[in-house]
Amino acid sequence: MAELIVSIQAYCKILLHAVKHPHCAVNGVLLAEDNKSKDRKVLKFVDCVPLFHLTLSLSPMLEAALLQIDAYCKSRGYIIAGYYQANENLRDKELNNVAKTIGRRIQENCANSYIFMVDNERLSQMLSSEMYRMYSPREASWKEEEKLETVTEETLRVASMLFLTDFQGGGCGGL
Amino acid sequence: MARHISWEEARNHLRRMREDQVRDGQTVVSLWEDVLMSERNKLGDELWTVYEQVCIAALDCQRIDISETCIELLKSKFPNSLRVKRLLGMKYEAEERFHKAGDLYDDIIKEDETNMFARKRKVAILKAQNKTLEAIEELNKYLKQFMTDFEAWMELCDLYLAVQDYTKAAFCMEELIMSNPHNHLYHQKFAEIKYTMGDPDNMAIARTYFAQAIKLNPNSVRSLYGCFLASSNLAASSNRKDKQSNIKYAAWAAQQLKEKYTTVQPEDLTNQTRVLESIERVLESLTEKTSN
Repeated sequence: MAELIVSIQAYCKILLHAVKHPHCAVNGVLLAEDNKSKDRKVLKFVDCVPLFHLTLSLSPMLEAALLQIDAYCKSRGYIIAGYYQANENLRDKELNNVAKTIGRRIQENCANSYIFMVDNERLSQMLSSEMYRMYSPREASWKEEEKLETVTEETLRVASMLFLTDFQGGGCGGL
Repeated sequence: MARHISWEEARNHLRRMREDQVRDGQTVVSLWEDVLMSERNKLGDELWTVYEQVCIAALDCQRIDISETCIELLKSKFPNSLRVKRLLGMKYEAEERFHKAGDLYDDIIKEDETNMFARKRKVAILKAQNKTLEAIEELNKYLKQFMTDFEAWMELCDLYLAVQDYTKAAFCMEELIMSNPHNHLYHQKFAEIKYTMGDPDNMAIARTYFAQAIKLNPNSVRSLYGCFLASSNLAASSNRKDKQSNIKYAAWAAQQLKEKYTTVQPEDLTNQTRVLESIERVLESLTEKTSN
C-alpha cells in the first residue's frame, strides 16, 4: 500500500472550490509528483486544478482541459493522478458514473490513481476529519480506501480556518 | 467588508442581483443584516420585494430565523397571497420537511391550477431527495402543460445529463434553440452533448453547432475549443477527402485560439501554462497521420 500525501495547497483548493459553488456539483484533477524513476511507495499530491461546476457529464471541455493540464504537467514533472468531485446534493456522496468514467480515464494515464469524493456533510467538521472518501481502482470496479490518512493536522487546521473566514468575510468580498 | 458599503450601494446591489437572478444567498443575507436592515423603512414599497429576496437567500444559508421573520411580515401585509404561501413551502423544504412542503404546494395548485411555481417546486422536492428519475417524470408532466417555460427545459436537460441520457438531453436543447436561435450558449451546449455521444455522425453535428456558436459569438473560447476538438476528432477518423477539410477547420480554430491567448492573456502566463503547446501537439499528430 502506497502512502498518500495531499499538500495543503491541493487540499485547500478543493475545499474552496466546493465552498465557492455551494449549489453546484464541482470537480477537478489532482496533480502528483511524477516519480517514475524512484520507488513508488509515496504518492504526493502537490497541487490540484479545479475544473467545472454545473454540468460535469459533458466531455469536450474536459478533454480540452486534460490536454492543457497534461502539457503543464510535463513541463513541471507532475502527473495527473487523482480526480475529485463533490456532488450537487448535500447528502449525496455516492461515487457516481461520471466520477467512475473520468476516474478510468485518469487511471489510463496513471495506474496508481485515486478518486476523492467530497462528503459535503463533513465540510462543517473540518478539524476532525478529512472532507473526502478515497477510492482506488480494483479491476473492474472501485474500492474505498478506509483509514488512510492523507493530510497533516496542520493542513486540517489551515483548512478549517479558511473555511470560517470564507463564510464570515466572503459575503461581500465581491463588491 | 460589508461595513464599508453605503446603504444606497447595498440597495442597488440587491436590485442588480434580482435582475440578473444571481444565486448568492450569503451576500444577500450579509447586505441585509449589516447594511439595510437598520433603516429598512427607507426602502418604501421595495421593502416587500426585498423581504422575499432575503427570505429565499436566508433559506439557502440555513438561516431559518431570518426567513421566518420575513414570512411573518409578508403574511401580515398580504394575508391571502399564494406567493407568500410558497415561501412557507420553501422553508419546509429547507428544513427537509418534504412531505409537508408537498402538501402545501398541492393546496396552492388546488386553489390556482395555473400556478407554475408550486408545480416546479414539486420537482425540486424530488430533486432534493435525489430522486432524479421521478423528478424527470414530474418535470415532463409539467412541460406538457407549460411548454414555453424554457427554464424548465434547461433543467430537464440537466436532469437527463445527470442520468447520462444524452439523446433526450439533446432533444431539450433543440427545444431551447428553437425558442431563441440567437443564443450561442444553446448551440454550444447542444454541440457539447452531441460531442459526448461520440459517434462520427454526432461528432459532425457537434462541429456544425460549435461553428454556429462561434458565428453568433466569435469570442466564445469554449466553442472554439469544441470546434477544434470535434474537427480533430473527425480528421483522425474520416476518409481522405473529409480529412483534409477537417484538418483545415481544426487549424482555423487553433489559429483563433492562439490569437485569443496572445491578445487577452499576458505572455508569461501563456508560456507557463503551456496552453499553445498542447494545441500545437494535437495539430501535429493530425498532419503526421496524413503524411504516413
